Amino acid sequence: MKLYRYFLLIIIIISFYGCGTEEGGLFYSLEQETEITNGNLSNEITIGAIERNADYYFVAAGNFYYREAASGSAWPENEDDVVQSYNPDDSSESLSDYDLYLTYDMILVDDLIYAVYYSTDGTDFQVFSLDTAGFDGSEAWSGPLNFDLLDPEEYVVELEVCEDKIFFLTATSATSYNIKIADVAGFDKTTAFFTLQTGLYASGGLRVDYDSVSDTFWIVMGNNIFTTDGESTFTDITDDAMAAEDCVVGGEIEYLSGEGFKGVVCAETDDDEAGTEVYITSKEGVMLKYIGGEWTTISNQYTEEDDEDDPEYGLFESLHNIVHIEIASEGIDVLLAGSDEGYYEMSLDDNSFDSPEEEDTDLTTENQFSIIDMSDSIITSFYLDTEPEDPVVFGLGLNAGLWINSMVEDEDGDYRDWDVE
Amino acid sequence: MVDGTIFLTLKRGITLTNKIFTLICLIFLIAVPVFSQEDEPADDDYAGIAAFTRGEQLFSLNAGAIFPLFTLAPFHEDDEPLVGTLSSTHTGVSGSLKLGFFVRDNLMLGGELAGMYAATDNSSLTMIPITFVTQYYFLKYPFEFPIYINVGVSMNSFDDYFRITPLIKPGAGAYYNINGEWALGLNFDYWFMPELYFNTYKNETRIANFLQISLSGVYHF
Repeated sequence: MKLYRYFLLIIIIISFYGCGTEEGGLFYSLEQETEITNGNLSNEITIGAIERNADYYFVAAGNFYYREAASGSAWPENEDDVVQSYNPDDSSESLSDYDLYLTYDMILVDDLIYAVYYSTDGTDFQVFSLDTAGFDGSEAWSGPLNFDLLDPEEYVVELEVCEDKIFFLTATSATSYNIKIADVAGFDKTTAFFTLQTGLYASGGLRVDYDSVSDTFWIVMGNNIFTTDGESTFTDITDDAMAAEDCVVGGEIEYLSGEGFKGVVCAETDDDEAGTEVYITSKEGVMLKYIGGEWTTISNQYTEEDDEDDPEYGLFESLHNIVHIEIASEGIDVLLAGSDEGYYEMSLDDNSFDSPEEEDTDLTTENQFSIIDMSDSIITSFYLDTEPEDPVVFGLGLNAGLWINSMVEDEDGDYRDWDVE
Repeated sequence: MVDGTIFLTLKRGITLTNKIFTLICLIFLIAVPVFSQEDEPADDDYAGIAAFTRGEQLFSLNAGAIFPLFTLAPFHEDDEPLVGTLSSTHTGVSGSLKLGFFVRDNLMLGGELAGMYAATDNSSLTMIPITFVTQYYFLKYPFEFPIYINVGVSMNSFDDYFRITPLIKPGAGAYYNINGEWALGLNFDYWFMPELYFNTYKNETRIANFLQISLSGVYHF
């Protein structure tokens, strides 16, 4: 019977052995698991932009997709329907002549969608527009649009709408970019552009946010940070930001990639003297914060599993855009920063970051988030839709589909979790 | 980024595979001396047997379905239920290989390597138990009615979780001897798996319960 004793001893020893990338109980997580709703939109597509009008969501994800905004509505099931949704009329200048074109960028201005389509070989960019007033899926695209005040060799690469301005990233070559601006009011293809800056080098990635306190637009693009009043001033403040006292914890911002800064957000503080907090994310996992004229770096504080009393500080996963999510009815006031491993959720009060894979957050439960594909996916940005009674948040995936965060009501109470469209 | 993701996936997979392989080797190293104690097999055709005698051996193949039942939370808070559901886990498939030898009349000792797979609402659950089995036969030729209890460990994987838990698996079966060597039958196994924590995750301690129903082919030699 000695063998039994040895065997039991081994069982006892290894029974307290566990590994895997997740902490906590496996059967507990299994018990807590709830089925996510998986819509009929592909979970492998890259979501470039999402907009909504009164009745529909529109998505630029290579193809142009749409669905009714009512909860639970389906995306067109037939791929032909999706393709047809951006197929214009038969005119010679129709998008059908550019059927190899893809779009990942669009804006919605007064019920008009402006989308940048580019050829798969990257040699040609064209802007088309779609009137979504009374949209039913049968509308034709207009274009390509020829903006009167662009130079003959100049083409639009990206579009951003912020506050009352439309920002254009244009190019005259693969290495020379310009930032131009126009008023939303009365915008059409003959609107005059105001040129903010020319001759910039960047590989795209224009992000803009507005500080209403100082009436300043903050722009990040590639390796640069700019501020502008949207009319006459345009200042490169990259060096100021990089001179932050503790910049950079655990590494250096990599300039060579040309994709250093990925997002910017302005959030008003309760402190009138301090003004607005500005947060800037970078591809290298660094987050910069600007408040009251001072730059600082926010570190990713984390704790090793076996050393709970000794937190470490370091870089985040590679970060993408950062968005302010404020849902007053639920007391949610957080920043969401997309990352290569899902996203981070940051409190505006104390700048503490929560990784939803490690703990419950305002927008999800740890047990649910840790087992869905979103936690291992690249999330590039977020979109808040406050129209529904319970606002919804969309997470834009890179080859990971479109994720939707909404309120769940069950026997455990009311809470938020992610589903995939 | 893509390369990094692949590397991490491979690294994770290799680590997991190594651990499982090491554990299997360990168990079999322990088990080999047991099986080496066997006597020469009895020289009869087993037809009309009244008892399995010391030295006889058997090998069985089992395949069937496994049903998630419920969990128990021994350290639950006052506002939490003692009994939880495994409603997200679907009915799965299971199988096992069992090798045993009789140490005395109708009493068999042996080892079993099993496996199960079940889809869950969003992922999947895989469990690989390695157990030591004690089995006793009630015989009424041509039928056999074994009762048994397996004790061992189970390597459990669910999404990014991997845990090794104790496993106690009592069961019973009913077999029909189709000839002197082969019997076919049905088994009912109850999987009882405590996953214990005494640290910050104490309230996540769960005792999982599954029911396995399987068909068996048993070879006596």
